[in-house]
Amino acid sequence: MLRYVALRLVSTLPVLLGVSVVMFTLIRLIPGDPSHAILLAMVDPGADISRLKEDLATLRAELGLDRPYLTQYLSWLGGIVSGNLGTSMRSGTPVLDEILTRFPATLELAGAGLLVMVLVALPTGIVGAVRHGRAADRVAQIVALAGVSVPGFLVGMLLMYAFAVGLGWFPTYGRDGLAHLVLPGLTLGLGLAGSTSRLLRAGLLEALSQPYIVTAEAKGLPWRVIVLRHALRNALLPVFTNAGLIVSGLLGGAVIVETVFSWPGIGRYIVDSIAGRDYPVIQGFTLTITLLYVVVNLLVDIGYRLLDPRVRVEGMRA
Amino acid sequence: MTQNRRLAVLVVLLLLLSPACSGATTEAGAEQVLRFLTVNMPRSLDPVHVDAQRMVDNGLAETLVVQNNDATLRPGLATGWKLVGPTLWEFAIRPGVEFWSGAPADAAAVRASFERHQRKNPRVKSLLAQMEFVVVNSTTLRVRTKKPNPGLPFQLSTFTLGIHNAAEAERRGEDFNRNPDLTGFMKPLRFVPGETLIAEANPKYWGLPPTGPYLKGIEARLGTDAQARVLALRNGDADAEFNVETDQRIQYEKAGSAFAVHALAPSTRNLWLNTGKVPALRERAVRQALDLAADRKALVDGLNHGYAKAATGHFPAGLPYAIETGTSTDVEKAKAVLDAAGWLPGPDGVRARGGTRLHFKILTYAVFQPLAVALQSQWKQIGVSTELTPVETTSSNQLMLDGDFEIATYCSCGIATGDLAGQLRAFYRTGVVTNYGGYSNPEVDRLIDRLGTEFDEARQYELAKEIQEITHRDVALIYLFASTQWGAAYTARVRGVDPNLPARIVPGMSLAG
Repeated sequence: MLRYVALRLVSTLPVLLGVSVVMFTLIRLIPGDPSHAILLAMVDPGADISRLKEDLATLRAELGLDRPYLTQYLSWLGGIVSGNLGTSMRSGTPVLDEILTRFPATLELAGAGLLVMVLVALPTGIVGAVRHGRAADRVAQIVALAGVSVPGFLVGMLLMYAFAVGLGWFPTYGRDGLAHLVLPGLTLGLGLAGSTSRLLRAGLLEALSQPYIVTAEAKGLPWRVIVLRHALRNALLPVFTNAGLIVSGLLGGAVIVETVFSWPGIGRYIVDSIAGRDYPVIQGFTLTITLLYVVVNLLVDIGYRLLDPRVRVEGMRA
Repeated sequence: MTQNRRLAVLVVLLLLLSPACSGATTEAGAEQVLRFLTVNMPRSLDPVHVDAQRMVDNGLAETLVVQNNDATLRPGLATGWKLVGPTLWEFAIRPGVEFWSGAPADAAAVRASFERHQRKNPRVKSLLAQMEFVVVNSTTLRVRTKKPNPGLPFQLSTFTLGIHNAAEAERRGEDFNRNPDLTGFMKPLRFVPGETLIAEANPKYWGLPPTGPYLKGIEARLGTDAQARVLALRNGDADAEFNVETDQRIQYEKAGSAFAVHALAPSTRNLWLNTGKVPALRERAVRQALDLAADRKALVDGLNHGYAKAATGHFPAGLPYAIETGTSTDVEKAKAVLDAAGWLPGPDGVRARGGTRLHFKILTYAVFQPLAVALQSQWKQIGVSTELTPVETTSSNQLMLDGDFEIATYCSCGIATGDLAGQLRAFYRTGVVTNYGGYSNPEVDRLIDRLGTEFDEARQYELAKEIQEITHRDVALIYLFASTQWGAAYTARVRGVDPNLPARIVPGMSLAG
């Protein structure tokens, strides 16, 4: 197992390198570099055009954007190797500090979203499969479909109207305690619960049609035990495999949720940084998120091998 | 699961939810703390930084002269000013004012602050390049200009010229971005760039009200969603917001006395025409036809829900230096103008001349996209075809500066000013950066230069009107409507809002109840 983990970790290096090259190149292809983004705030109406071009050239030199592409990339990569993600062009703060300041808020939100997702997806998925074709299944399907199809910002607004403005139970914005986490967590979690519930329902329906379930029934095991202990375990494997997508959904959804609820997380910050063409922040964030996905997928693969004996056997054969 | 385990889970859940249902908590937690949401959160608190937003409006920094919403001036750190020679202004510095560190904010400190702006603030580089600061004594500062400059007091009122302790800035270095030394009545306690600013009142501030309550602090947070801001005010989580959109303004006003919306001074929304680079737009007949076909009433009633007025020229109507000419929508006349110029309708309804179709790209971005869509439909009626090029703000900034557009709904608007020459120069003077469309008329250049040295107010107004008449006749830009978008909204708890500085946190403010 250790050898497997080591090999997987080594194999992430080319992935990270590839992502860094693609990201470094792509953001430089978008019209408007950081000097122009900064100029949005600094255009001096009285200046003449030749003066502006001079200012732009000075600013580009100050930001290191006048150097050849390869020099810029290698310089940035050198910094990464020594643990330096660079400095934000807009605030002058180290990118690592910026990320570390905001990441806990996003992780907190993602955790709450995950909890809501599990609390909603698990019962609706199980009910949908166990009561297949009946009214309860249809209700669960509608709930799941709504979760998948209603946009996050709308869910957030509706929850805010109902529970913050209407009932006054929760605050509308900020991050000052558990109360502030409830509505953003619900918004994020409900969006993901729909797809997870459908996945779980499909997995359970397949598991419940397997011969070992008939055996369990023949043995006289209670239906609850058959579903929760035998069928659910197997039905969870596809959900578990889907963890990478769930993480991506949590981080992607966080951007919307953080905007609606003024949640001071990394998602909203990165959108702002993209608009401001803050290259070091975008690059540092992308690399961090890539690393996160790689680690999550690695953990999923390891977990899969532990949970499903067939994977272990096939892995050994391979 | 045993009964006990179930009970334990239930207790844990209840414990988790009980604080959640207790309602909102605030970080400062004290009374007289104004909580508000804004799109414009600073990324630095150093006034020379390009991203030091709302520094003056948040009560942190002060300027020498304060510019009101209606573009009149009032004393700030200067108690008065006068012209002592054609190129020499004198400012009386408010005596006894101190920076937060306790250092005196006297004439020498003000000069050092301006000189640091000259060196480091790119937003005022060309403005301050024309000025030299001379200390006469601790309360008298003189400003010498290279040529007569009637607009100087107004120019020094710009929000980007916050007075700061320059010596301390050099000493603190990068830390000055988070820990500045200013004179305002709010001192930062906690600052997360671009996210949060929590500040407390400076008890030694010179302008605190002698009696009665006043704000003891502010809690400013980034709030980018317009509707979420409304809900925050409705819920009582926030007491103010400073970027009220039209749809949200309707909601506030429907709620009656629960909220007060303070509109900003009207500003003229323009269409930029690239006369420098687009051959068809160099032709006055084409520009005139586009101008005539723009249905301003529909734009005012439909897009702005009536919170705007049809534009009459560069400056919003009603100002003593605005023209009242305007353009009346006349689709038939627009068609006739194009017919006369040889632009005739083709089989697809689009006009063409010599094989060239009358087709334009409209550069636009999110906030102005509905306007671009409306114009697209209005111009179709006269046989002008358009396609939208929606980009995000930063891209539009580069495209405008590079002149890489044909027609643009770019936010650069005519607004009340005390520096008529400065504003008209920025839009119409040949070769100026923000004359995005490359408009050029030697007569206009001459008049703008003359206006820049004219001290007589009545003559200034005459010259400004003359310039506007020419640019209107030339259709240098298409003036659409004067909008009062992006004002401030307060809950009824907030008292003492200055109607002539509606988006500014002022010492006279307090919270009731």
